[in-house]
Amino acid sequence: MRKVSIWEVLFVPLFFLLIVYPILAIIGNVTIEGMIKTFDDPIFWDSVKNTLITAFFAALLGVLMALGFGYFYIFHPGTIIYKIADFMNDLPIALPHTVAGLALLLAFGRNMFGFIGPTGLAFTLIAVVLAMFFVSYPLAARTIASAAEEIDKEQISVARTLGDTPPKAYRRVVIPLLGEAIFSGFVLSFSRSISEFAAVIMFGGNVPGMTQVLASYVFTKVEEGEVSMAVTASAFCILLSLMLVIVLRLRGRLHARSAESA
Amino acid sequence: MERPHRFIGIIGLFLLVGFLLLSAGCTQTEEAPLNVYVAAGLKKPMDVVIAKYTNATGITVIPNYGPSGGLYTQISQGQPCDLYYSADYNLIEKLEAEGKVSEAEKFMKEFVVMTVSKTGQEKGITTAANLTSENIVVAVADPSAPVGVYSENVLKNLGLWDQLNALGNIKTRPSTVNQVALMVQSDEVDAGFTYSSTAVLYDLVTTEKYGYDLSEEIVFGDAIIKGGNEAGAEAFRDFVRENSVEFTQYGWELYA
Repeated sequence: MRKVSIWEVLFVPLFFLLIVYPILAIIGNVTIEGMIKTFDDPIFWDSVKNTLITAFFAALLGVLMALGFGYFYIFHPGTIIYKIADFMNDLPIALPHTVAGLALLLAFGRNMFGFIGPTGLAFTLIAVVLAMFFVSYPLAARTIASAAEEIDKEQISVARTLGDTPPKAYRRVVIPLLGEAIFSGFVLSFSRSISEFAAVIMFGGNVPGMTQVLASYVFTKVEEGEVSMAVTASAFCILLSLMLVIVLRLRGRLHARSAESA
Repeated sequence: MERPHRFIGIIGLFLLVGFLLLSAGCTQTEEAPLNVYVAAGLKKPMDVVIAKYTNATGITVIPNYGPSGGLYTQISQGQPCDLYYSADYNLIEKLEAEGKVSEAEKFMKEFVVMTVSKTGQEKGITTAANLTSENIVVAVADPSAPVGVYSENVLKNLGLWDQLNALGNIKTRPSTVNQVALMVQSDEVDAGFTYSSTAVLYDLVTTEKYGYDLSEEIVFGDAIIKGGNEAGAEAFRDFVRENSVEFTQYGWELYA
């Protein structure tokens, strides 16, 4: 009889209990009545639309910024800018979300940015994007930075000796090699952005139909006591995230297969 | 080969013991801490009263502050609570209908007021009708906080609600009354609808106070939850009543 390792004994039941079971609890609590109520609510669909659009742009911005960070990491690792950016990359994650929201409000609200409008940048969809970007940027940055670390520096040196300037070398050699990391960085940021609400409520405004996102829709339904609608909206969120993860995995497998056959 | 397995086994054991201890801690009965769920707007005076109570009796009181609607959901889903202070007596009646309340009473009367920030004052906002001008920024709490529901009632009864929404002047719907007050205080909005007590707590300028004909009766209530530490809850509730001056100094009136 094969000796069972301690990893198998501990990991499998704990994983099912702590990760899979709560997700099943939500999906298992979805009722037809809840689904009808929720899908009939135009505010629900508004929040879905707002969430998808803002999270997309937040993730896009996050990836672009992360690529910028990658540039400094490869070509100017000794500079102050890189050192500060590297140090602060993980700061937004350490900040409690309401604090992040308050920080954004005080920084970009009308007291500092009043020239833009009566509320500054606050309480707009742009604010929602900024709040989502703020909390999800570290994920994109970490993904791309660790992929950049794996790149064979020789390829870059060769490009440089052949006459490429750093930006050209970055564009023509590094970024194509980072393709996989860019995609997974985007998906991670997107997923993280979908689930953010405390910062979004504070800075974005949470006005139903205008700046309310799916996460705060669920929150409001819970607080209103409309549990069946909250469950439906949560299950919707879960399915969305699940689809994203599946897409990521399929991409990974396709990529690996094409790399093998190459 | 043996040592790593033993090490991991010990970690697993610690985790298990940790879980057991955490869950067992809640069933001790001697001098058990009191779980009190309190509407966020009552935080400042309640903190003072809790400190007094612990000083006088040595009993630990663990407050859980939040929007009354969220606290209602927690209690309704069975989270351990001994005493519930709600900013909306309707929520207590809901719990009574669910059979979760052992004893409830109306505690204080509250009113919705319109508070105006520095910029709002410069813009000349003195009455709710002023809010329908252009470029006015208004904060109304989300309906998950009772003050949000009451504020909506006021604006609907004044015939301004639809107009304000069409104009898009309600730029933010935060989730608690304290967040609304914070936004008025930091001048991120022109006007916000809060309770009169919140305005006092945050030192805000109040320009209008609305009667119950506009907002509906706003009664803060308390409820002793069935199945909890009912004796302890009753003792604390009576202590709060004796020290109601901590609350009335902020403008609340006792519901006699």
